Amino acid sequence: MRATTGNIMKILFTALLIVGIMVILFYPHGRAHQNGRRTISFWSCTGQKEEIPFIVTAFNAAQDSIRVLSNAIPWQEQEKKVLTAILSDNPPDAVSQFIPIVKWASRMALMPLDKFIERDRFDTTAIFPALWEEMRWQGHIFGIPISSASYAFYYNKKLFRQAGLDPVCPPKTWAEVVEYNQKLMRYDKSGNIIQMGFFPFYRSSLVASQNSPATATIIAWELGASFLSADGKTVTLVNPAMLRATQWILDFLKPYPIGKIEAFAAGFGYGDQQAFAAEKVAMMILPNIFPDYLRIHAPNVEYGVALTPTMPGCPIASSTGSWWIAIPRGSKDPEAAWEFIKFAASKETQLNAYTAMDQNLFPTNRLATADPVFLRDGKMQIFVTQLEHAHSSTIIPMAHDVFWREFYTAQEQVVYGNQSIEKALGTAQSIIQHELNKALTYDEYVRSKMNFFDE
Amino acid sequence: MKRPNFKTSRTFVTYLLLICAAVVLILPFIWIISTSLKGSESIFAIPPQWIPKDLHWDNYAKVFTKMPFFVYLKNSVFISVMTILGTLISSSLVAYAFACLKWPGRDWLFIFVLGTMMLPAQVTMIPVFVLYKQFGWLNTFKPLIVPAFFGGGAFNIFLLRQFFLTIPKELFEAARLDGCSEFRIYWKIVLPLAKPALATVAILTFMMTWNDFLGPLIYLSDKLKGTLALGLAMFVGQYQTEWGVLMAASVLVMLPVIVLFFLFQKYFIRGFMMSGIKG
Amino acid sequence: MNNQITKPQKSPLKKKQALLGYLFVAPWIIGFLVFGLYPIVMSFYYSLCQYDVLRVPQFIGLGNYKELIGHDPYFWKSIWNTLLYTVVRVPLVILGSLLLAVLVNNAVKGIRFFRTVFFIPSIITGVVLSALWLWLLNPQYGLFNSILAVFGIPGPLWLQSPHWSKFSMVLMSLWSIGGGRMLVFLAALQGIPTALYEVVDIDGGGWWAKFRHITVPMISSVIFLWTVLEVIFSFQVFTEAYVMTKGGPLNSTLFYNLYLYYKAFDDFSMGYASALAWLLLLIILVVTLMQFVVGKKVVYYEGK
Repeated sequence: MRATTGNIMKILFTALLIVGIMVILFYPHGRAHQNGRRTISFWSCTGQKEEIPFIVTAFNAAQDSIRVLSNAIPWQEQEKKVLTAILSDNPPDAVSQFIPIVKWASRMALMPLDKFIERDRFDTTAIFPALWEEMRWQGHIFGIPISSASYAFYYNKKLFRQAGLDPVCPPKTWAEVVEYNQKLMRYDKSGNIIQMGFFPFYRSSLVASQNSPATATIIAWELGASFLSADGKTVTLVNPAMLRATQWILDFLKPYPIGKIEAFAAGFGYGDQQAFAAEKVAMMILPNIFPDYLRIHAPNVEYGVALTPTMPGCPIASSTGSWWIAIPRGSKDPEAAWEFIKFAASKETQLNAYTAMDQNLFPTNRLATADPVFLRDGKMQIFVTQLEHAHSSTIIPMAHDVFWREFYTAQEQVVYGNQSIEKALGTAQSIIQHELNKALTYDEYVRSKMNFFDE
Repeated sequence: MKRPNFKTSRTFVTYLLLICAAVVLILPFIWIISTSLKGSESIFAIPPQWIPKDLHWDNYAKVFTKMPFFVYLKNSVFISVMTILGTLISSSLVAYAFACLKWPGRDWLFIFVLGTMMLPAQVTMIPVFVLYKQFGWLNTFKPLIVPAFFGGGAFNIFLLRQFFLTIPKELFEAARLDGCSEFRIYWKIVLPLAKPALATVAILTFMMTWNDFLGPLIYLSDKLKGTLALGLAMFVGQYQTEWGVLMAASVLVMLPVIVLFFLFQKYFIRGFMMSGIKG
Repeated sequence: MNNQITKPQKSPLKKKQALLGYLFVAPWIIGFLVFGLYPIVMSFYYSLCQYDVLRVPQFIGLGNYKELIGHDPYFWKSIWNTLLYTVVRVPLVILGSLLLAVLVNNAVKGIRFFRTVFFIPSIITGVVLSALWLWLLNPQYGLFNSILAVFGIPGPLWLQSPHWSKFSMVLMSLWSIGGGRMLVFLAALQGIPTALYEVVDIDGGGWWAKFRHITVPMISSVIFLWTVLEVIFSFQVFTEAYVMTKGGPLNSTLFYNLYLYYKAFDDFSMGYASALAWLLLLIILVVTLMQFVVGKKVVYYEGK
């Protein structure tokens, strides 16, 4: 080859390329070994109060044989990340998420924990029943809940006073909620809503997220509704209790033009613009971590927490979900992971985490929630009671996302007046049923090809 | 023809339009900068504060403590540079084949190449992942870089091909008659003429790689192998999103792109190409 | 292509060119065979199965396709949403970038600054972009409605309204008209010989005449290119809807790709999602081919 500029460039480029490839190949990686301790990797989601979850630091400090290396995965893409990790045969040794554990468990992605539980005589009764049920699939347990979501009825004392309502007497029945609401509605000169008594949906707008409780389902549960048959095969979304609950919502919203409500809700935002924090809504069903949220964003709000109102003669109901820790199949050191899990679920750890994280970790261990340290804050007892009466928000385990998508679509259609309650719920039910059937058929097929539990 | 003050009124109108457009387009960005300096109490305050009362410079400091910024920066730069290199070389070669050479099946293959852009990446994501797993490329940068050397993507090929098509055939004929090899024509005639197009491809590729979040998310597991785009995602949580710090981080991540763009402008200076040839 | 009436064999020069053609295009072909073929074939196979990624696929033939076309209201709804979005967005975005490119094609002082300012919006992506626009389009305190209020116009509910949600997204899209697209137009504009404009000057034409008779035809190939690309991109709109509206309100922003995502990664119905993907490919292919047919008549290629 002649030494033209062209050729020199070619050579230079090839050299650069080779250097680049070398760098990629020999790029340093691999985790640090910590003084001969067993190390396990643990993934949890971003957005926790601390960078590294409290339980990790506490565990590493509490013993010498195992070290947990914690990695935060982005909240929004957590499912994809865990999915690809499992596919790669190189998953983390332990993982903690909020999504229904059945999504992984039913797909053979997690290790059943039964043998550990038996061997170490793990006290399963210490965990709230509603949370424990969620961890179960096909009779096996796949995860241990370590932080629970619990929802209660928040009300704004100052707004109550302004409306002539007694600030220590929140509504106890849904009928009272309607009454109170009427007194708390405020409008501006043009007739737009600027304050509402009760807002029956979770975040802003009429479209909420799957993880938030829908008032309609809460009322339906109070009335004894069940959305899935005992054998798990038939969806019973259209049931008298649900119809009545949805009717209640419709009746509640009837006096107000939907456009005005839309416009009002559209003004909700983040931070101190959250509806309750901005004192736009006087009563709302919100989670147990909300006190901390208010402390940060709206410390001047005078509020109280009460049990959710009920239908006449009915017990309270609530929805719940939990952060759990599970061991993916392919974990390299499940024993060590299990030690970590036990620690995270223990009464001491949960109490310490609760205090250290400004009440952002709500214990799943009943021994912790019965402890006076925990109950020092009067609100907490309310959340515990709610949790005792809670139903899992994983209503249809094999068709969870479809259920909530269809449920909210139906709710929207009803609230906007596009469809009758029966039609909307009926459509939703048939779609959910269809998906459930497909999932069950597929599941049967897979079972005939692979057996999970013989291992 | 009378054209009184044509030049100055034209310049005036130009500036007017430029300023109007600039104001409209930059306003939201200013909000991002202003938010990056706000503490969490005032981010969503009503009425919106354009100039924060207290300047929270610590938001920027937090960016460096909450994520390994410089490690991620190094990784992002490395991946981007390699990808741009690979893309420029391979997509220009392939585009040359489509635009400047005649061979049987050319147009059909081109439509096929175009077709690969039409399949949503979501469904090939999993099989691609499994493929890379078989290669043993997981938890390395290879899945992010190597494909760039093999065509650089249908999009860039399409872009360059269309551009190359605008080069007059006479140039090619003349060069071929002179006995130039195709590679020489490619290297000495087409590439220099296509500098604006190549610069565009470089910038677009840079932007895409710089902001690419999904690739690093699923292929890289070690914390120290992340990229800046991935780091940004760390600030978003279930209930808590640290908006101020997130905005600060975004500004920092955007800065290199803005600076590079500003510098690369010389490739877009008027009259760089072709003006002498036709008139 | 030559016609073969008189030539019994290709001249060696043509053969050489053909060979080189294959050589130059080889990187893409190799890349495709190695990185592209397997995933594409697999995704097609999955579209004929029930499959949840973590377990074995169950072959069901055309079941997914039949269900999609015959029994899935969301399939048609999402096509409708996506189509509407595309039809509104593409012309606006192409026109916007083109006009901006013409504006920015002036060598006035400080043009580099302006070009950079116009470019910046296009590099903001993801969560930040969505948070920004959720704030801008907030019906009560967002910038847009505040400005409209100054003129006494009650602004719409933007993203919260089933009627305005798609247009809100088009608006968001318009913000990045100074981005890569404009650069491409700019690069193309650079290639128009000044001599041509002088001809119009001599003939007494103004700005519009130049635009209509010189600028647009000369870069029509590039405009065409981007229209084809933008249609392809628009059909695959996803991130904004996923982050900001989750398909609502009333499924008005349930775009095709979003529905696909829900099926693939929320429901783990990868087979069904793959079928959705292949149908999308078909739709886009048909639309693109239609565009090429029209394009042949309308586009002017200098090189030809």
